[in-house]
Amino acid sequence: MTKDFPRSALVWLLVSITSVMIPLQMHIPLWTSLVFILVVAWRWLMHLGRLPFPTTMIKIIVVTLGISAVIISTKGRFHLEGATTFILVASLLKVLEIKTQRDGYIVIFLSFFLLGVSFLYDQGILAALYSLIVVWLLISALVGLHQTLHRENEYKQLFSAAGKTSVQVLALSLPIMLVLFILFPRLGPLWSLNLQSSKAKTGLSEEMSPGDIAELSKSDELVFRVTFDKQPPAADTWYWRGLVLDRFKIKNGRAVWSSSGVFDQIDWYPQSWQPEMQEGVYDYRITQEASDHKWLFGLRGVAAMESGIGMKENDLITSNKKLYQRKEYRVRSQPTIAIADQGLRPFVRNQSLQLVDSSNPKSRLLAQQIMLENTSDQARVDSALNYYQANNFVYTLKPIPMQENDIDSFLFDNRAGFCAHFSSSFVFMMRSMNIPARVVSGYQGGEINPESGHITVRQYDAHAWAEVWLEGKGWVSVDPTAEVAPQRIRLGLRDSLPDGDEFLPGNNFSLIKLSNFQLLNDLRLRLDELNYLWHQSVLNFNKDKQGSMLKDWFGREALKKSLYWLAGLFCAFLLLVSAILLWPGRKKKRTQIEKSLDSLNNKLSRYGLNRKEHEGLNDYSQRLQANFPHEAASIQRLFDQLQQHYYGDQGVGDEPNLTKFIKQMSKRLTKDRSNRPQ
Amino acid sequence: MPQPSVNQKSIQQIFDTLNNVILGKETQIKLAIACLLAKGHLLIEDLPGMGKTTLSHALARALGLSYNRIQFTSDILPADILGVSIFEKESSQGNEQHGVFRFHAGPIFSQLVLADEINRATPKAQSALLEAMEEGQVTIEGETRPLPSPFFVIATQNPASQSGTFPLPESQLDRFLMRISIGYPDAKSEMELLTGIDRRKLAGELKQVISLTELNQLQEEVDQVHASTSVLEYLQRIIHFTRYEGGYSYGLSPRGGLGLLKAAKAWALIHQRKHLIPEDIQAVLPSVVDHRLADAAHQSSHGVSTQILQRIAVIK
Repeated sequence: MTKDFPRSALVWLLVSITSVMIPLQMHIPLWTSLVFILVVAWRWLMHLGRLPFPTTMIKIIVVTLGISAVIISTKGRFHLEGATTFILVASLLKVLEIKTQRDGYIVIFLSFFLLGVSFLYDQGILAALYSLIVVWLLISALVGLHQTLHRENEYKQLFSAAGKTSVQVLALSLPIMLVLFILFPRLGPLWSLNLQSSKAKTGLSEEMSPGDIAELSKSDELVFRVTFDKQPPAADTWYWRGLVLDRFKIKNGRAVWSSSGVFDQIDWYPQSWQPEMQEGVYDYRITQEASDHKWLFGLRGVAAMESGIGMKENDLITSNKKLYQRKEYRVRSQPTIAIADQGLRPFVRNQSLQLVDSSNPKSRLLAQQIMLENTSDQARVDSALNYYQANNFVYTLKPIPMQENDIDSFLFDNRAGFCAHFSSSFVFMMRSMNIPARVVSGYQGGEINPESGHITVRQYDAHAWAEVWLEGKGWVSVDPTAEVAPQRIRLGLRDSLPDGDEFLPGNNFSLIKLSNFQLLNDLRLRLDELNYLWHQSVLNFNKDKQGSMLKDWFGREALKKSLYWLAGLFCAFLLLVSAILLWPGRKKKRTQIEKSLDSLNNKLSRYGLNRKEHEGLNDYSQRLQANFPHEAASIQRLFDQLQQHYYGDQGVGDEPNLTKFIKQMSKRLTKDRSNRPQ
Repeated sequence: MPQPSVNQKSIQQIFDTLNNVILGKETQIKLAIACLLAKGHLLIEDLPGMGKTTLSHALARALGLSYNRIQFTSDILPADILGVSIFEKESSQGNEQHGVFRFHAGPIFSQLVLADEINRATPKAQSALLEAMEEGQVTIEGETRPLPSPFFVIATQNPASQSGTFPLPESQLDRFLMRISIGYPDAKSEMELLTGIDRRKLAGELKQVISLTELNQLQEEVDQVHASTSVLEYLQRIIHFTRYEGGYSYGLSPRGGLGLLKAAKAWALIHQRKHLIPEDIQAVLPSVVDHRLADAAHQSSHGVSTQILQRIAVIK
């Protein structure tokens, strides 16, 4: 029994689709919004009766166009954005052929799915609140699907009724949602599709060539948040190490630093080293956003504190899985520790001295000179650092692009650049002096929230500095940038740039940029705090947290297990009930006449001339006669016979003849209609 | 097209006559006649002055029925409706020495009774009328007296001023086969009404169109209208919907279902058809079902039939 799509539900449906569409639009190609506008306009004209329902031919053309557009815009690759675009376009096109109540269901449930998809892009508290509104709209649309229009002018009442009903439904389901959220077992995904985003996540890359970090400075995207268990160390020591770049290459004449792979050996927790808890040792928790990489962040002297996290010999921690999702982990650090106890192993030493012989001769010469002038390695390091200060180097995010022998041109001609230039040239000089050195990239600084005390590190905090091996002291961190722009280290990027223009260029609406306004800044910090709480308490409420919470509440493991059983039984019960309800009842066999009537209906439905389910044959006959004046007489004859067949007292009429008559009529009517201009 | 029988000709005559008196209200007149042919009683709910009385009077004249009107008030008593026995000391015949109780029939002893503003009366008085409607007889002082046949009650009530009224409970509304409202005339009929002669006077002057026998015959013919399995299944779906699917607190009673069938059959007969089609049911549905389910649906009483009409498939 198919019911017609109620006309009054269309507005709800279109509004809810729009609301689903808006957040997704930021992540998918712009042409989809054109499709959206066209579809909505088209459907509305159909609603008003200005346009007919699309014919099969038109539908095929539209679908083909849609699929080709998706393929072209995604270049045929299957990634998250492509998949999203595809399903979005598909559900938009479905709007065009909404005719029955069931079509309405399909579109609404697709919209629910799309709402879920939008959480793949943003899971912040604002997105969650927004999705509540969308859910309300979608439920209202569902309610609207079940409303009956009694009078022509009743639309308004129906709208408010649907809105109210869905508010009630949502309010009633709120406690259930909370109970399920807290108690329902967190099952791992049964299957997972490694659908990656086509856009590389902004963030550090495994290679550093000068220029990369300047790109990062344009982004205010969140990288991770840190909460120290106790008092955090001084702000200018927040060097969050992420990568050690010890391989030097020349690519297109420019210096490129990357990881060599000599530190691929990983000690997994609990085998890895851990400092004793004492003065100068910090415990902290990091909540890191998804990054598509395995590397984790930590201060110097870092140690893995959880299973699934390992330690490398170059003082870095790493995860055993790529961080496709947000990850929270505990870290312990002892920044003051001297990493020298194992000595410098030969292959590490070789790697840390590796250079390309022919490159940057002038810098090499400068290094030789410094080496000869000083006797100890420490003095050579100081002297090299001094060079930057003495020669009035300038810290800028917009240096002149450098081509061949870029280190030479940076050190002698331009003398303006940012951390990548400073660290790159410094390590180059150190290696030329035969001092083992390497570039370390990561983030420096971060913004501390005065309310909650957590530190927020964003992409524009990206930084690169150097580490040199000094006999007896081990690896020592040196930041040449700090020599030139100490304010960059002390105050962070935002406050160190001379004017606002260089900070987050092209990102005029970033709240961070407006932090000079006290009120806005407060608001921004509040929002950040709220988001932090949201992440901590809702998004990170995983299996372990749930387990420990339940244990805290009920005290026993066994109870937790029985909850799982309960949940399982509940699901089984639901499955059983729905199976019983949905079991296809034995359908009445349709007679030849009914079949041919169905086909007549299908053919005429294109012109909106199908028999409505509740419409009697007599009324339908009148309607058809009004629409096909030429055929009125034979229509009358056909329906007289049909009525006789169904309702007459003469018994069942001549079935084959009647069937034939219906088929003829169906042909004649469709021909008549298609010959007419529409 | 089958040749119309004598009876069907007379139906057409009734229409023509009544349409002359009540202008522009063909549907309501048809429904009223269908109700009469189905041997049901009619409740007209409308504002004063819409032609309720004129309609019933005209109907009585055209069908040649004896006609009485009872104006219901809050102090009306059952005896005022049914009649009362009065002691007569000297009988009119004069050959009896002792006086006797003589029964003076009330206004209900009439073939067509107009119960005006039925909801003004107390339940006691209402039930006296309603019992008579159901039983076709009245029992006064232990003596059962049959009512004339045909017996047809047209009750009216005013929906607007509800203060000081006793609204009929569902059980009593159920005794009325149909409830209709007449409504304002359209502009053309209004103009005709304003320029023409007094309709009440016209109603009083109407000539009898069909004889009592013919009316009886028509009522018999209603039962002979053929209802196929297909249309009965449709009727059953409607009844089932009101009881189990529509979300009403109660559904159509078996009496309601039978009434719907009979009214639809009468409608079919009026349209000169010997078989029942779903459109007949649909046509009489609002007037038969709405007043029975108004309370059950917790909404405007017009909603129920609309919902049924839009949701029940004619052919499954």
